[in-house]
Amino acid sequence: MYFTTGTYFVFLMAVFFGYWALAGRPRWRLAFLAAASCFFYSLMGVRGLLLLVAVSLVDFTTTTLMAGAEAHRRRKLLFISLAVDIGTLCAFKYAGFFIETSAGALSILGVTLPFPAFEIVAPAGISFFIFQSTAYVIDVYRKDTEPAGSYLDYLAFLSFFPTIVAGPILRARQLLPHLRRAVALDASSGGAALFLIAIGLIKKIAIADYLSANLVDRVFDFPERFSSLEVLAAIYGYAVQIYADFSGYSDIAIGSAMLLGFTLPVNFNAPYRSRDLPEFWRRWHISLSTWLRDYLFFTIAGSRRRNWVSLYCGVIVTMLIGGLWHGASSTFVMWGLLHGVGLAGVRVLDGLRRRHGWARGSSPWSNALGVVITFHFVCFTWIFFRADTIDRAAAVIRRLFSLTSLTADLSNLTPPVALVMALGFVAHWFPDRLYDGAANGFIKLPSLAQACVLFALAVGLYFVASSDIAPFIYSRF
Amino acid sequence: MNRIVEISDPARPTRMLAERNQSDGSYVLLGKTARTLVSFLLLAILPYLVPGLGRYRILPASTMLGTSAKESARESASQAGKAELGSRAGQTEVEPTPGGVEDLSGQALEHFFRALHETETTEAQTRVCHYGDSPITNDGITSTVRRKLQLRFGDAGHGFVLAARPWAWYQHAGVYHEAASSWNSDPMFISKGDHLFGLGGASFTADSTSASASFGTAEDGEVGRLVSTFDIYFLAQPGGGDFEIDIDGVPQARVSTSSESVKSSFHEVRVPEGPHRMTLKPAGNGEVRVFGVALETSGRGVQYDSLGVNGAFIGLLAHYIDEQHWAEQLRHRRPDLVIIGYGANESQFERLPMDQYEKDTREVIRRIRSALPDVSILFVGPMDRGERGAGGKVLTRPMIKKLIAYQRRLAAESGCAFFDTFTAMGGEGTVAKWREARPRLMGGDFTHPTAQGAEIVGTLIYDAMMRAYEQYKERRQH
Repeated sequence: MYFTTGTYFVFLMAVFFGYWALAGRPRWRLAFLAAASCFFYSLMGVRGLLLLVAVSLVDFTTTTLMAGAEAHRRRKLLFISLAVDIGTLCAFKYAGFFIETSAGALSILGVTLPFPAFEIVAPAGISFFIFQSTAYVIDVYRKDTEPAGSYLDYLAFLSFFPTIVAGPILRARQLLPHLRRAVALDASSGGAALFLIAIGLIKKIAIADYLSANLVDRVFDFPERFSSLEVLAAIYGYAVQIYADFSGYSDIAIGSAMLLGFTLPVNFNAPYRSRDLPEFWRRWHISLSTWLRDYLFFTIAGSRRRNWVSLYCGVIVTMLIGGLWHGASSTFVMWGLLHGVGLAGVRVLDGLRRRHGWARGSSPWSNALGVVITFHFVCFTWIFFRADTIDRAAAVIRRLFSLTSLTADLSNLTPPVALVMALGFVAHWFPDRLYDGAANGFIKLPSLAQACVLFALAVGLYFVASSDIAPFIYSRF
Repeated sequence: MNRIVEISDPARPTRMLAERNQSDGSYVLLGKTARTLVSFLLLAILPYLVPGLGRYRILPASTMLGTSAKESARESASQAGKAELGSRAGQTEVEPTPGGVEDLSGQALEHFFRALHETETTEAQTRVCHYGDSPITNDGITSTVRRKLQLRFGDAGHGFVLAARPWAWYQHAGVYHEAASSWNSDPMFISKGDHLFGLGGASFTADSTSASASFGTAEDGEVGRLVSTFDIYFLAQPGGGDFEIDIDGVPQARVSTSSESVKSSFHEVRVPEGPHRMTLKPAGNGEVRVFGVALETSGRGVQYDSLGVNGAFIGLLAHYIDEQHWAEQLRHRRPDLVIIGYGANESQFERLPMDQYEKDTREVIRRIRSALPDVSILFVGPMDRGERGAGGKVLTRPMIKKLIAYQRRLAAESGCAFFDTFTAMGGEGTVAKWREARPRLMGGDFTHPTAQGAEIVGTLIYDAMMRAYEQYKERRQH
């Protein structure tokens, strides 16, 4: 059940009315929310739900036992939880990849071992709920958060239907304490939630799916059939597509949670406005980048004193693992590696700048140059993220720089596609007051007018839809 | 697009609670948001109750309770097309044979199967020319059929390869082929030039020594590892220049293309059977016009020429390649089977003049039979080709089924065999399923299969051929 289907909105309405009918009975309300979330997730596969229940049972038990335990015992419990969480993720997502890679490496050395063919289809959202549960266990171990009051609380937190498939990756403190507290929803928050869901749908259907179907997929499937300029346009198109797709998902998730009285953290903040790569990662998939920083980078590089080896290696290894988190594929490894090297490179430059007392340019031109360079670096890495294989990515790059295809031919870039792409970029620079004005305008409408606007939007999106309920890109991870 | 966070305030629910001091949610159930949601639901249900609003059905019921107006209109159009087709195609009724070769006469592939049987039992060779449109140009489908035939019956060489690359994605599997970009390519299309496009539907001219083209055996893979003859197809013409040939880097010959008249010409370069590479380049003393090179071995086996032309349709072979010239090319090549696989480009025209289509198809059959009276002809129907419909659904183009019905009937009436690729792939809606498959089987243009999809289509064609061949052998025994 994807967020863009009518089925989801029927489900969301049913949950909305059931949830608020039980608002005065926290335990029942929580049980209803957990049941609805489990039902939602089970529609994507009962196997995934069973796995989620198993992981949540282990992590809830270990964190409960941590309370009042000695440091030595706490470490043991932490180790058990991490072994289960990471082991589950590796078994379901990376076993085949590691076996294949090992076989390839050994074959280079002339050793051929009869590795079994190993393919397990990972349940949707496994990377998200495993990271969320792991963060909870580490937070409880570090005493940064209190253990969940009951298993029901923890199950409701981990299976929370707006975030279960593709985040944002929640920290326990962002949701767990609020689950049993009294919740509230006024007309303003309700209107804002519906407006946010509408924006998310526009981003997903009218921008991401449209660009995917009408340009990006075609070029990435057969780059050799397109001119260099068209390949370049497709790479830009993918940059807009993945942003609109994922931030659209996040908007719908945040809006859905708002309808139930919860406020989730923001996950995107105009990422293509970034002037350097570290800023990009402060604006892109914020819940993942902060997770990687807090639980991986600080562990590898240490949170305070760092020598340059631990710093740069820490950045590169963190981003490599971040790449691998997206999927067991050499393309994601390459994507992570490029970002790791890029981030390390920016740090080296910053160090040189400080050492030599060079001032960082802050003029509009230097800012614009920074934005252009950062954007194109990110676009280059998107080639690996989007391509199915390294060979395919290489084919795209070859085509991009092929002199024989360096023509002015843009016949496959139709005006509507160019317009949608331009809209995707320009929206990054929309003045705040424009968005706020539209949101407030919607909020102030009478309920019937709000319904008419939403219905007109739904019909409009139905007719402009370029694909038949395309899954969100990040729901694969 | 990102400012919504400012509406979100982590402290907001708590603050609101303090202001309201309400502990139950009844006020929410009666509140504005609930009223908006209920109104929205009523508006969404309305099109299911009012027949005239059918096209605004957006809820999941649209798939459970009925179809949208767009889909209804489409279905009506499809039915109308079928009715029209039924009245026109009424002369010959052919029962579809999903996944099999259809041969109403029972003799359509006799010549080809006889050749194949001789190849299987003696040292003979069998040759196939497979004409097609853009899905054939990268040899994805045809390389599968070639490989499978050669693994079973023997590898008699790769077959025909165009002199250079008229399209960047032109490539053949199981052969080495490199060409300089300085060749001037002229692929077959409407009203272009003198209509002399060689066997493969494209001609290449150059007068500079910087233009070269190399052909050789494959460096890896199961087939295409040997060659004993490079057969060069070129045009002899007044004022034609020379081209030089070297084998494995050693100069071998200089061939003149000068002639008193314009005519198809051929030059064979024989080498000891094994892995070799031949390079051909103009000598610089005049324009050289080359069509391609066929790589052959002396042993038994199959040669399978992949002759795809981007944007091609049946009318090109009927009108836009010179009949006499094409006949010369075909007679020299001597195929035992000619496969005609067009339809993808015709399918984009919903008002294709079917009378003309029928005439063109009959003309192509006549031209082939005129050049090679005994040759077998197999029509390979178009693959499923998709387009976006209501709600973004990927639907089969309506013309596909119409074209298949015409091809089936015309093949039957002309003593040709027919293979229904569309039905063998899975029929209506296959393109959507193949697009969603992992790995993807269909490209994002819903027209060209991916490498994996091409492998499947090639296997379907090969399997159908082999089933018909086994039936032929059974008939032979009786």
